[in-house]
Amino acid sequence: MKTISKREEQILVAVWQLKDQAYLLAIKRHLSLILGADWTVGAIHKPLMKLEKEGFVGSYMGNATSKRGGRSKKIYSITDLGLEALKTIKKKHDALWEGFPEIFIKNVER
Amino acid sequence: MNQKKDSPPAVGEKILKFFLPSDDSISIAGDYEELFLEILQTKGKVRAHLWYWIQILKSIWGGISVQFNWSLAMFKNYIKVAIRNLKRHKIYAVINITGLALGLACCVLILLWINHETSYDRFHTQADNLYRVVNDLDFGPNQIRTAGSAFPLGPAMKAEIPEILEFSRFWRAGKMLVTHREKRFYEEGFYFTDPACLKMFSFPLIKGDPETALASPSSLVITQDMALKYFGHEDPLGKTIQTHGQHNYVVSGVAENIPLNSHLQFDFLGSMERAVAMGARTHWTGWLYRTYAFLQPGTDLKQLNTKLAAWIKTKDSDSGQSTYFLQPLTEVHLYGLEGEGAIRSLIFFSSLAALVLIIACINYMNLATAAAGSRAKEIGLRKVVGASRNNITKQFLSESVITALLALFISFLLVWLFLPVFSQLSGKQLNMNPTQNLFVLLGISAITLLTGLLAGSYPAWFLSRYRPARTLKGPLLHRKTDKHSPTLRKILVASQFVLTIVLIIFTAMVNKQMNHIRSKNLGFDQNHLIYMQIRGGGDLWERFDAESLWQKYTALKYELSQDPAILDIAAATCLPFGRLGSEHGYLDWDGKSPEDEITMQHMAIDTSFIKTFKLELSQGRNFSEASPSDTNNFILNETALSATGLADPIGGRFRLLDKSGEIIGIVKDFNFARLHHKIDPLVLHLMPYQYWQYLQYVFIRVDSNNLPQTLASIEEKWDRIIPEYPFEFNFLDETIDNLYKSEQRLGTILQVFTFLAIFISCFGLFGLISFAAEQRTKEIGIRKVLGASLTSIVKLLSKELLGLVVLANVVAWPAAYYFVNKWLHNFASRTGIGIGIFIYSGALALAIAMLTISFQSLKAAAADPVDSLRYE
Repeated sequence: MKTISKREEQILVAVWQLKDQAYLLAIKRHLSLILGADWTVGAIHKPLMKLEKEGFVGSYMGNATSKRGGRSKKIYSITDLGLEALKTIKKKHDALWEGFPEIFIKNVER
Repeated sequence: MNQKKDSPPAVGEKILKFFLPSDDSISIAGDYEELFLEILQTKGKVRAHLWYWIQILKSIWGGISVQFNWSLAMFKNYIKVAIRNLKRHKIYAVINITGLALGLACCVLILLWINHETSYDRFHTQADNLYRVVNDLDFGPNQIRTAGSAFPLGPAMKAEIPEILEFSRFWRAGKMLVTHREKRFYEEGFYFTDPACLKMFSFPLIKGDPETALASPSSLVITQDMALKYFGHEDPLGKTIQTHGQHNYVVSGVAENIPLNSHLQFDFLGSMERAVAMGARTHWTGWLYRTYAFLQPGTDLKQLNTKLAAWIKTKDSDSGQSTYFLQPLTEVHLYGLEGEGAIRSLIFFSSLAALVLIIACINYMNLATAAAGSRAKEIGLRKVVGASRNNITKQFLSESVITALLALFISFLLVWLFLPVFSQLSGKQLNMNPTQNLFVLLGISAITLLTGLLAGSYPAWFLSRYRPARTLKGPLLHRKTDKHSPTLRKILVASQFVLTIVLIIFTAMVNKQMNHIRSKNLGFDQNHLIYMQIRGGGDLWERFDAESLWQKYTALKYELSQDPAILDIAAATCLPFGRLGSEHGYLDWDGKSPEDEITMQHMAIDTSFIKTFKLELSQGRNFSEASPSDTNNFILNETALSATGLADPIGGRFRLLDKSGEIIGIVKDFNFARLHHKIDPLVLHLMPYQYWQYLQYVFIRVDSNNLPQTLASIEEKWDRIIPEYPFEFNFLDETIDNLYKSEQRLGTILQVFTFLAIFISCFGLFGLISFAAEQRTKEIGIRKVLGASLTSIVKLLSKELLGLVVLANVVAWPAAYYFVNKWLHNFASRTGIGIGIFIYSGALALAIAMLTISFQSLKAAAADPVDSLRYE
């Protein structure tokens, strides 16, 4: 059984949410926006490579923009295997957090 | 802001890309650029660049540390295994490391030598802009290339060629008698030069001012050693030195001793003005001056040389005989005048060192592959665990490099031990000072690495091929699995012996030729002949008075002839083997056709010269004091006779320069030059009275008994009759021996290298035969049990290797013949290349090989089969 770490889980979710915009920097921006932590490129790229190698995400080359010095983006997309994994994680996750009051979260947030 | 300024630094990007994972480095580089732009817009340019460079540094560190950690872990294991293997097979470790250490030690010594030779004349701060004038002289039938140029050349070049900023000439006045108070010595290193010399060259003065040291005609710059020799610890500045008891000089400067790596060596420097005042030749047709030029930096040498050649033709006074060109000062020592300089022996000895190293490498290859059986399981296991062929290759390469490094360490010890001996052999002062020898350190590191890789290449390739399944199953049988591997090993052993045999033959030939030269009948008797100068040398003849020289010589001759130990005494204006006069224009004889362009050497002698040298006359008679007209007569050597083509020479008319008379005798050819040259036509004539001022050398043949006593008696008489000159004598045979110093040096160094080559090859052979014996222990045991005799087993073991040595002879002989023949062509008089030396050398190699092999194979054959069958 291939295990998925917390970081990999976060990245996998981000890839799913960003759909066809999911390239390295977009994932990095998305995660730092939500999680509030500024990760380095390497911190995202390494788990992404592992996910790709294990077949949870696929990739294709996107369009090149002048902003990137004419280099194309590598866009990641979630595979069926990845989606399955996410579903399992979510299910287990929800089961684990069953009954945790909403109000706590709000307090923390404020 | 333009587009370019917005992008990250290009160099940085390249570095970054190098360390990024290769499969998507392009898109990541793009990501980095986007981030860079983002930071640029929000936080400014400086922060953006800073950030970018930090990323690069991180990537470099990351890349290296990952690489390093992993390779170090593996490398540590390789070292461990390598050292275990060396320990387990001690004999082979000793053979390999000794061989490689000897080879590397040779390389270090040769590198030290190369470093020394290439450092010549580079200590001048202006070395790159200094040039020597070379002169191609054209004398009709003879062309001579010389470093001598005409007196007016320097000043004219400086005045008329803008690229030539400065010049200085050197003129050696021959052997000078130098005196200060009671100190009196003949000095060879007395030169006259132009005042610019001290500014052009970096010969720093310890005392005195370089600007003015050579300004006045009486000034004299001396070296530190000379200051010590003549003045002890007194301050030499302002003191007077005399030459030939007549000319006074005032010491105006003391120079540091001239470095050994300078081709210009002098002890005294006088002013050129003084030389001119004393009558030095100042016209365009005396090529006695070495001229050096200081060029405008950045001058194109080729262009300038073309210009110079055209320019010299406009100087009508030279009568078009010379073509001058410039040679960089730093090439003078290495290439000499015609490429005959140090570079030739450097190339020769470097290749010898390389040969020795290659022989050692072959040992390593052979032993490593022969030992493969014992490593097969290890390789198999490594492969099973996941090592690729690449990994195994790397392992064996690092093993051989480690061995080479160990050998390097030992070679440094060897060099340290043998450097004094080698310095003596090569005739050079070499030292191991690391600051001066950075080149050597770098060179030897590169060579060691290369050696390690070369030695390990074949074993690595060979061993990494093993299939794990087969190696793990059981012991490896070479014969069946790797049919072609022993073939390559055979070729290696054979080539090792080819090299060794070629070296043996070459060494033997060099020895034979040297003996040939030493024992060759030179045409005169060189033994027990001493010679000395009756007056100071120097080409400044004016002050010598013919009358007094004649009287002194006559008195000396009379006194000495009373002594029975003195057999003969003779006089001449020059030394055979020295600089003889040479003439081709002012020569004439009966029936000479105008187009005959013959150059003859000439030498003025006295009546007893021919008898003293024991020259043989083939026709006619010797000069005689009883016949006064003999001062105008001539004696020719046989070569000269055949050049004239006269059938009946005696009594024929002959003219040399302003002298004309008869040919009264023909002397048999004798060697009056190095045996490298053919014997040239030679004319002997009698010193007429007015020539007596040119008398320079006195030759005395002494009895070999009681030599010290005889010499003491000569000295006593000399001091009485000629008190103004010290009694300094040489033996003619020693002088002649010195002419062949470079050949003798070649011979000795060659012997050392040959010995090393034989030693290392035999070491390798020893290793191979002991391996074979070990691997076949059981086979030998069984054979013995079944009744094989001792001899048949020795034969079994050694037949193959000895066969290879015989084969090596077949290849080595033609190769050796080629090289020997080429080398012998340096000599006009050469010994024959007999088949004897080849047979003898081949037999020697075979005998040594046999001796090496038989020891081990006898041991194996004599072993008790009970023990060997139990073995394993």
